[in-house]
Amino acid sequence: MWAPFCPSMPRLPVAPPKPPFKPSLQLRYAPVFDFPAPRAFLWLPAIIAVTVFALLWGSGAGNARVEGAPIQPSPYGTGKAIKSGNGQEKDEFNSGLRVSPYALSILIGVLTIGLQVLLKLMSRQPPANKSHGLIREDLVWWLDWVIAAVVAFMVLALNRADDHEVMTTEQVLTLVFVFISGLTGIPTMVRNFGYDTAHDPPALRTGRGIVLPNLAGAVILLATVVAGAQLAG
Amino acid sequence: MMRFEKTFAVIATAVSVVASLRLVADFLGPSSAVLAGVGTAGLVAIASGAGLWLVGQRFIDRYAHFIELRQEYFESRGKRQKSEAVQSFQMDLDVFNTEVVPSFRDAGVERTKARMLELIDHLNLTPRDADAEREFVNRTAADESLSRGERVELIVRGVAKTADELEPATIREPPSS
Repeated sequence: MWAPFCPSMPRLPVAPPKPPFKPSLQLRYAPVFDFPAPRAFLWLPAIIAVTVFALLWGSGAGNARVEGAPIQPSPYGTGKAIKSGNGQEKDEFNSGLRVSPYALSILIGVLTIGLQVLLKLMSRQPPANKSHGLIREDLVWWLDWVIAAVVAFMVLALNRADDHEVMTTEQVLTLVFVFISGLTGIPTMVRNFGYDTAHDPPALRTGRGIVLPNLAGAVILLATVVAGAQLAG
Repeated sequence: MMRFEKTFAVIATAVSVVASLRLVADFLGPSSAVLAGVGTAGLVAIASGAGLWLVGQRFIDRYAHFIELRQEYFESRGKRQKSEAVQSFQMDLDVFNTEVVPSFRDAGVERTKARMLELIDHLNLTPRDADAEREFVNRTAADESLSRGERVELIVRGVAKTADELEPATIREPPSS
């Protein structure tokens, strides 16, 4: 940098480039997914495929009917004929791409954790000679699912606040109760039962720290999405 | 207070899950709710299992890598050379406790034993040391007085101790049995 201004300045010795480190166990203990973090984009098609599958699974594609044929009742509501803009008759509930509540909950769950893991894969610098930097804490998904459930339900509820017929008071209260008990119970349970405290720092247990809370979070998400689908009509 | 907190946590979680399933049954019908519940449980179990396998595989590989590099380091100490490998690779005790040991626990006693025997074969130990290590692994794996988790942990810590005699040691004592 200073050389053009101080030609007499002695040049600092430049260290020769180090040869790339190649552990001898690399082949024997080859990582399962041997690709660098930026190529984690390879997961994107899989996520998109799951999304499309979930959409089509619950879509109204199977409810297409022959023009003029009687309209079958939709599983999502009472199918009734309405006039579209060009005067053609169509089924109000079967006319567009529809997603079943279960497909929607799978979609939200998979997208939430898929994108989260993908972004972590892309953003985290893996250790030397390792393909990814994921740790066990990254498998704690119940947090994201419960948060997604609460936020999604609040948005849907606010959006449909004027409609008093889509959910009964008892159902709304049950859902609020689910949120309150879930948001207080699951974190407390994980803190008390989810860690192996024999060592410092405590290690996250597989069953009680990861799988069971994930299961509880997924069930809460499922109930919320089903209720949200009902709210959204 | 602590007992109350634990009881509350279990009851609140169970109640929220049961109430969620009841809501699903309200909206979808009982048979669909059962299918949805079973499907959700299956999907979560598969996804969590796949994630645990992926992360566990990484840390088990990393552990084997660590042991091998430390062995290289101890071999090179006699030549007064510090291996670049050791400089470029570190495993601290936190990672060992929170990632490596749980990953081996997930793998189970038999897989841990097989992996350790394979690793011992690969290490450049003297025949006497290698035999002692194999004997330690086999004896610990067969020790019925310990739980499966304790056996795995003892094996992992014990083999790590083999290559962990001097600085820059980060893996310390095996648990007192």
